[in-house]
Parts: sequence; C-alpha cells; structure tokens
Amino acid sequence: MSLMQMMSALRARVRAIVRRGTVDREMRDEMALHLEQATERLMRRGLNEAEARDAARREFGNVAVLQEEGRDVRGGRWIEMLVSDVRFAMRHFSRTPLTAITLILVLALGIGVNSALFSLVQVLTMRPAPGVPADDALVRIRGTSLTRSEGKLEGRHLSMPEVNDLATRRETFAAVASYSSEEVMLDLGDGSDPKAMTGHFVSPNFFATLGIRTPLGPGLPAGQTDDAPGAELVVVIAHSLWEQIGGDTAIIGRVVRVNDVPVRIVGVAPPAFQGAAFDSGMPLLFLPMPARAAILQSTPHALVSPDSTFLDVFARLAPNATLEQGNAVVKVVATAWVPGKVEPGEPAVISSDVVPLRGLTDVGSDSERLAIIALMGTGALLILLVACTNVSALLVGAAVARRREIAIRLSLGASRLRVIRQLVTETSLIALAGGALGLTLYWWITRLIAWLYLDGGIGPDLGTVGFTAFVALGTGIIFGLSPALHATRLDVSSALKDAGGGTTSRSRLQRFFIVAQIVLTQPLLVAIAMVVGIVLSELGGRVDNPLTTNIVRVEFGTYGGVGSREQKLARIADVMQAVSRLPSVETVVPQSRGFDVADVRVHTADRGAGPRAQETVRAHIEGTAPGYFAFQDIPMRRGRELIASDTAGREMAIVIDSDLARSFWGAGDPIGRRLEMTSLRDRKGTILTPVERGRVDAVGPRTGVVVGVFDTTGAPLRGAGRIYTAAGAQWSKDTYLIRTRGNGTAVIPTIRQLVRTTIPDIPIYGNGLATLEQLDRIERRDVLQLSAGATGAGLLALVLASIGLYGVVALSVRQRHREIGVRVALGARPRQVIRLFFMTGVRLSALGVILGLPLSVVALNLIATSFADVVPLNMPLVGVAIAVVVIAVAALASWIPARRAARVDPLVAIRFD
Amino acid sequence: MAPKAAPLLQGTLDLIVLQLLRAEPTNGYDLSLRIQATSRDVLNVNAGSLYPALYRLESRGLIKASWAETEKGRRAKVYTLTAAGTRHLNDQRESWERFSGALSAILRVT
Repeated sequence: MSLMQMMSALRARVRAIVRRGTVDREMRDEMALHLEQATERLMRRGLNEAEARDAARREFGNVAVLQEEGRDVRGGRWIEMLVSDVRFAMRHFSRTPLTAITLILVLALGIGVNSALFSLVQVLTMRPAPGVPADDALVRIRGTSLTRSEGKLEGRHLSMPEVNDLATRRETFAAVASYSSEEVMLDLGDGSDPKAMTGHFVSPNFFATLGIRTPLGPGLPAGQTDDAPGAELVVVIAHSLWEQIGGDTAIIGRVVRVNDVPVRIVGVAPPAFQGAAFDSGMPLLFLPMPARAAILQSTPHALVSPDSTFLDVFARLAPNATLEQGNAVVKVVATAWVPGKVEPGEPAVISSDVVPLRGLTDVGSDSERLAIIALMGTGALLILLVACTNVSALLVGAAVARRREIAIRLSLGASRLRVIRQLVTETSLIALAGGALGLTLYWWITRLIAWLYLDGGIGPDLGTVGFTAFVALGTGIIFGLSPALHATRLDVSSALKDAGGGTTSRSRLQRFFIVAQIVLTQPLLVAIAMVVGIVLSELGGRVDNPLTTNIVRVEFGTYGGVGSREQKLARIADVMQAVSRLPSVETVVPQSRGFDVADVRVHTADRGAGPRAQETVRAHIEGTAPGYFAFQDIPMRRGRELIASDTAGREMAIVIDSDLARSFWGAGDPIGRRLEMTSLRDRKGTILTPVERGRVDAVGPRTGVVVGVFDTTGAPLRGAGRIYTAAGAQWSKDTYLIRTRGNGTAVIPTIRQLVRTTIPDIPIYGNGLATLEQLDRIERRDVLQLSAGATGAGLLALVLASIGLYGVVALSVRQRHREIGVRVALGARPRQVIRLFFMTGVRLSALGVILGLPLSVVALNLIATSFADVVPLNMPLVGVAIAVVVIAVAALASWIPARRAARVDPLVAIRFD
Repeated sequence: MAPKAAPLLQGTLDLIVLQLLRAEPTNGYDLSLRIQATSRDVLNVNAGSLYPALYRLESRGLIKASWAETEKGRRAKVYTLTAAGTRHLNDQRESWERFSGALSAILRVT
C-alpha cells in the first residue's frame, strides 16, 4: 500500500466513524436513487409505477441489510460496537450500582495490595540499592563467621589488608571498593543544631566501581589522597541532605564541620543514592577513607592492621569471571587474614562469600529474606485468591441473574459472540476501574512501606504499573469470559423456560474458598485485637513516665563521636553534673531503662499471711538509679528508698509496690523478707516460652531482699507487681531525667546550649530534649496511628470475607429461584425460606471459625510469648469475642441475600414453566 | 425472461468495477446497467453485491466518491478511479490475463 493509498483509506475510515450520521444518510440517498432510477427504467419498459417499484425493490434486496453490510465493509465498526457496549454496560451498572461498586472495591484491594507486595519482594531481592545502576558484574563480598555450637552464620567486617589482598586478585575482580559506616555529627555552621547522621568513609574507587558520577561538584579525589596531617578534608553529601539544606548549587566549596573537624563539600551524590547496598544505614555523607583518622580521632594504624575489621566490601567482577570463581577466591583470601586478636567466647569459623549486589545482602538477612519472601508470596497469593474468588462469585451470580435477559437478546438475533463481547466489555470496564483504584491504593501502600521501613527505598515504578494493568485486564477478561460462556451456552428456549440451575462444582469450590477466608481472617483479627489491646493498655498504665511537665528527658547516642564508649559516657555524666547545677534544675538521675519480667514467689522461709503467699506472681523488675523515688516524688510507705550502697551490695536490695506487699504478706511487715525472682528472658534478653525456660542459658532464680515498700495509692506508678532495684548497672548511662523548677520547656534551651557547647560530637537521640508530657503525647499519637492501621487491615480482611459469603449466598438464592417459588407456592413461610439460605451462610462461617481455632491459638501463643511482660487481656475471652464478631458479620452478609429469597413471588418464579 | 446470468467468479467484481470506472466516473445504478450491457447480459450484478464492493474499494482508497448532479438534476454519488486504483487495476489485469490464458490453454488441451 502506498502512502497516498493509506491516507485515503484512513480518511474513508475516519469519515465512517466520525461522521457516521452523514455517511449513513449518503448511503441511504444513494440507494434510494438507485431504486428510483431502476423504477423509472422499468416504467419505460411499460410497467406501471407500483409494479415497477415492487420489481425494483425485489431486484435490489433488503436496503437495511445492505446498509448494515456497507457499514461493516467500511470498517471502524468495532469502535461503534465498543461504544454501544460501553454505553450499555454503563446503563447496566447504574441499575445495579452495589454489585458494580463491590466488584470494583474487591478488585482494587486485590490488585493494590498484590502489586505492593510484588514490588516489595522485588526490592528486597532483585533490585540494586536506589541510585545504583543494575549491573550484573557488581557483587558484594561478605565476611562470614560461623559459631559451631549455634550453627549460626553471622556477618563480619573485613580489615584493610584483607581488602587490599582481594584487590590484587585482578583475574577475578576488576575493582574492589570498600567503605566503613560510622555515626558522625554534622554542623552546617549556620546556627542550626548539629545533627547526628551516618557517614561512609569510602575507598577512592567507591563511586567509580559503582559506575556513579556526582552530578554536582567534582566529587571525591579518585586517587589516594594526601593523608598527611593538615591536608584539607573533603566530603560528598547525599542528594536528600542537599535538598534539605536548600538545594543551592553554591554549596560546593562550602566548609562544614563533621565531628567538629572542618570539611569542604566537593560534591552532591545522585538523587536517591543511599550507599552501595540496600542495608548500609542510609548514609548522608561520603568521606574519603583517610579522613577517618582525623574525624573519628582513631589511629591511622587501623588502616593497616589485620585486627582492625570495620570494612564492608563490594567489587566489580572481571569481564569473564563468574560468581563461583569469586566465591572460591574470597574463601582463600579470608583464611589468610583471620584476625589474630582472640574474641571472647568460642572460636568461630571465618570465611567469606560473594553475592550479587542486589536487594538485601546482609548475611543475617539470608534466612530473613527467605522468610519475608515466603510470607509475602503467600500473602500476595492469598489476597489474589480471595479477590478472585469473591469476584467470580459475584460475577457468576450476576450472570445467572441475567440469563433471561441474555436469552432474550439471543432469540432476537444477537450473535453469541456479540453477547459474550458485551459481557466481557462490562467486566473489563470493572477491571479497569478496579485497576485504576488499585493503582492508587498501591501508591499509598508503597509510600507507607517506604515511610515505615525502607526510608524511600521503594517507590511506585513503571514495571509494577504494567504488571497491575496486565493483572486488571487479565482478570476482567478471564472472569468476564467464563460466566459469559456459561450464560450463553444454553439454548434459548430452555433458558427462557427455566432460569434455575443445579449446584455446579464451581460453587462448591467457591464455598471452599469462603471457608478458607474465614479460617484465615479469624486469627488475623485475634492477633490484631491483641496487639492493639496490649499497646493501648501499655499507654493507659504507664509505668515510669507520669505525665509531668517538669521532668525533661534526654537520650544521647554513643555510637559516633570521639573516643571509646566509656570515655563518652564519662563526658556525658560530666555534662549532666553541670546541668544539675543550673539554677532552674532540681535534680538529675539516669533513667531506668529496660525492665525484666520475672515469675516471683516468696522465699519458703519468709512466707506471710497474704492472700497469694503461696502463689507465683508475674512482676516487672526495673533497674533504677538510687534516689529515684525522691526524684519522682513517690512516698515510701515502709522502709527506705534505694541508696547508692544498694548498687553493689552482697544481697540485691529491692523496693516493691504496696499492692504486691499486701498480696504476699497481708498486713505483716515485708521489710527484710526475701523474694525469688525467675526471669522470663535468657541472657541475651530474648523472652523464653514456658518450654524453653529450662534451657541452659536461662537465667536462674535470683533472690532479692525487700528494703522498702512504696505507696501505689495516688502514686504515678500504677499496676501491681513492680519491683525496683539498683543492683548492677541496670540503669541507663546515656539517658537522663532532669527535674526542673517550673515548666521544663522553659529550661530546655539552656540545657541544650550547655550540652552542645560541651560535647558537640555526641548526638541527642530520639525526640531530643523534651518533657515527659511532650514525649507521651508523641508516643500516644504514633501508637494510635499504628493501631488504626492494624485495625483497618483486620476489618479489611473481614469485609473481604463477608463480600465473598454474600456473593455465594446471593448466587445460591438466584440459582434456586424457581425452587423457592415452588416452596412458597406449596405453603412455605418467608421465615422458613430465609432460614434455608441464612443457615447455609452461617454453617459456612461457623465451619471457618472452628477450623480457624487452632490457627488462632497459635497466633495467641506467638503474641503471648513476645509480649510476656504485659498480659493484661483475657486471651480466651478475646478469642471468643472475635469469633462472635466474625460469625455475626458473616450472618449479616448471608441474611441480606437470604431475605431477598423470601420476597420471591411464586407466581413470577414459576410462571415460565 | 432474462438470459441466464452466469455466476460471478470470486474476486472478479472488483476488477470489473475498476475497469468500468477507468472509462469514466459513474454512479452505482449506471454501473450496474453498464456491467449488464457490456457483458451482453451474461453478468447480472445485483445491488447486494455491488454496493458492498464499492464501499470496500472506497475504504481501500482505490476509488473515491463525489456528489454530482444527474441530467435530471438529482444528487447522485459518482465514483472515480484513484491513481492507486489505476495501478491496482493494471496489476490485477495482468495477472488475470496470465491466469485466463493459462486456463484457456488447459481447456484447449483436453
């Protein structure tokens, strides 16, 4: 076809569509003229006008059919049909809006959640870190360390000599780059507070090996920098940091202070770049390796000693090298550089391996990643399954209800293809709407995930959008096709006669899925209810933080900064000493931090007359600084409070709450009596299940001697079973409580000033300097948001399951329409009819609840062990309550369509026989 | 009684229409008469085949239509051969002549 020909063909086609009215009229005119001329000719031959017209007509044939054919020939016909299909579909939806909306919502949920999980799995497994080019040659070299008894593989850092050795293996690695991740304080020098952030000290080939250039500024020097003292230090900042501080190109060349050392900004990293690997701690600063000594005040010796292991390593494979070759090489290198320094504990097997630089690459995340993928894969599959089941139940139901309509259309001459097309168009429209909505949902979920876990490492991407569109359309066509084929297969007369149909295997499958949904919904709801309940009750019964405006809390970070942790803690203690001397400050104590949960019983020799003297009671054990009760203004009912000598006494001195004292000893004097406390945690702080408590590393019972009883009535510390001790270093040395005169917020600026000038390299963590009242407000808000999210998820599951149940019951009502008519005609009462269908739904949901019970018990146990310290809720009661709620909602979902069954008019239902 | 019309060979109608339109632009009715006359009443093309063929050719860009007045002052749709149509006709005619020559040769042999 030539271009001209194509143009003119196109013009004819466009004309046929756009100007359909005109074209039709022209066709009519043309054919009318033909008839007229033929008539005239016949009349000239001697026929009279009427005869001539008839003859001409006969000869010509059916004008309407011809015109129809003419339209077909002209093309563009399918668009016309599509338009009319869509118009018809819209009209149909407006008649049954509830079904359409439900379908769209279910699809949107399925597609949105599914795509989000899909892209999350992709990010965690297949994608390189943000801003890093996808390049198969990039690998991560991971140091590993295996302890035999535990069989646990842990990651280890490499030393500079080992990295240098790796770099010489040119036949395998074209380039080997390394970085060390440290926490540093950045002072922009513009009067704002210095901020704590992660900085990477990188090898000179760091950016080049990744294939990244700094879009702004010259970047870090590519060769070995002059590490002579006095040489100027330079830094490349992350794009997000650059944006945060104004996004001004004039920033290049500006001098800032890192850990109080002047450093010149020489570049901005590409947008989104957050280090070489996904899990590298969100660095905002990239500094040359030699700057490490000056900024961390560590010895340059660290860069040559095989005992200084602090490097993460990645590499570019040589052109023909494989991952296997890389693995073999790094293993050999690892054995040559086993650190000479002996670590405490049992010796470990030191090795290394090579993995692609994609997704999560930490050694520890290997099994975690598998678990995540398995979990998400199952989740995604389940959600898709649930959505599909519900959609197909609803669609089949809708198609069955329209069987008569379809039969009428078929009998009026519509081709089967035409009817199927109509139905497929309808479902595709729904699928598209669901897909669009699902995409919006997907966008929100990825934002949420990014905000919660990955700090911007995940975002909506084109691939997933394509995937979603594909799933949406595919769902529409497949689900539209099967009921459409089903509905149009019947021959017209039998469909018109009998609108009923037997229970097919499809509906049995649907029932199975509905039960499965309820089985899964219930434990989910139970778990969510438990977590929400626990979190809320935690908030209500706050242990240590009475809502006060005159206590200021401050937490310091001791990871970065200059010197050893002990040196830093000592400097922090000095500053706190200075703070306590401020005129507006009353006292300063370290905050008790972290508590233990223990089973507590009275020593057999010290039993009293209390109501629970013989029992074992669960209690919190708090490590507390001496003077804590005076600080908190909590009166002692008996005995004394904890004093400095209690920190190192031969016996563990404890102060208990008055409720606990009463339950063990009644009115008797508890002072000097002993308690046996068995921790629920092992030495590493992991909470043990009842079965695990006999394990070797479980902490055995400790004995505490009661030295004081504090008054719980009117005291800010609520809840029975609180035991305080000053023994051991159980309180925190980096978190302090400052009691101020008057409102704390007024004193905060003074304290901040003092801290910043004295220890500029040690960051203030968390929510910074704030009064307990402020902190509580922040925490309450976070917790409420989280609970709202969890509750939403649980409700969503319940709604999905009910929609499915609704669809199934509604379908069976429609299928048995005629049977209902017969029953009613034979004298069945509406109530009996309702019961017939209602019971179907309730039976299904009850089955689901019963089958879900073991799962619920598992969920409850899981939560019980991870929240052993707070067991405020009656778990079986919660379980029963949830089961009741599930059945109630399910009953409602089946009652609505069942009630419709009762309204069947027997005359209408049987008339067609 | 009209002479018995021969069945039209598949695909030849397009060729006939194009050939006749090459002589002069014509409307649908005249075209049907002309087919009948030129073929000495052997071919009788009814409207049911003619108009779809015309629309098909038009949508393929081989002919184009315009409105003109008949002698009696009525609006009639007149079809004209396009350049592409001329080329197409030449191609088709060539292959038809080759085909019919071959067919006649075969028919003569037996």
